[in-house]
Amino acid sequence: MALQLHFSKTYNYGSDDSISLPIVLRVGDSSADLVASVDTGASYCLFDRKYGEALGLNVEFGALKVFVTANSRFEAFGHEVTIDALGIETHTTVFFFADPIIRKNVLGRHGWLDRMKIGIVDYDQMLYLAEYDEVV
Amino acid sequence: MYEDGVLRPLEPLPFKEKQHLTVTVSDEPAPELDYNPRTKEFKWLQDHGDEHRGKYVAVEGDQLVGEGDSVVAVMEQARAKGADHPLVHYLPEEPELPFAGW
Repeated sequence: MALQLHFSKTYNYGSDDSISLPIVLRVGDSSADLVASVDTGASYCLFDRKYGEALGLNVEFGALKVFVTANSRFEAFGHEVTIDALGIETHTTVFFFADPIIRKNVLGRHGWLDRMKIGIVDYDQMLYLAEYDEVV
Repeated sequence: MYEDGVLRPLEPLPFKEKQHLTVTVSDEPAPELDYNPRTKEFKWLQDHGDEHRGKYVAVEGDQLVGEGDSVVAVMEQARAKGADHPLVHYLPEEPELPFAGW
């Protein structure tokens, strides 16, 4: 039996090493347009703190959380933002790295992947996206 | 391949007997994207990124509208040039090694 999933958005992410897409972060009337990588191995959405500062956030006032990687740990601060990815808006908590040297932008599970239906055909460099409860 | 009024596969299809392929061709135009895929900005980053390593850049369309050490600084430069929603991206000093995820 074939299983069908329906997606309202498609995006060709090109030949970059990562599966990256343009997104917009919004807080109130402020916004920042940036490139973020889809990372199914990341528990949360994490961003370069300088984007948080550009949104007018006092990054250190957010909820501190410690994260671990395969060989290190780091701290980040949580804030509520709206993520607009391919025109799909999600209001969620994301984390900004405490360390300004870390300049990764990652869309992870809690707050983004858990709100989406996502399909990837890496051979074609195609990302398919829909809101979880979207009716197509 | 469309030839002499007939749509044919470029290569024989590996279908078993009694299986068939249905192709639907529609003259409806492809739907327009309802988001900005930033195609021009990514092209600019690909073509010119190496010239701006170690900096944040703000790019709108195929134009560099800001460059500096912080997102705030480059967004201010962009706004001064009338670009309200540039794509802001950091270009690492060295080309990045493959990323192993978290």
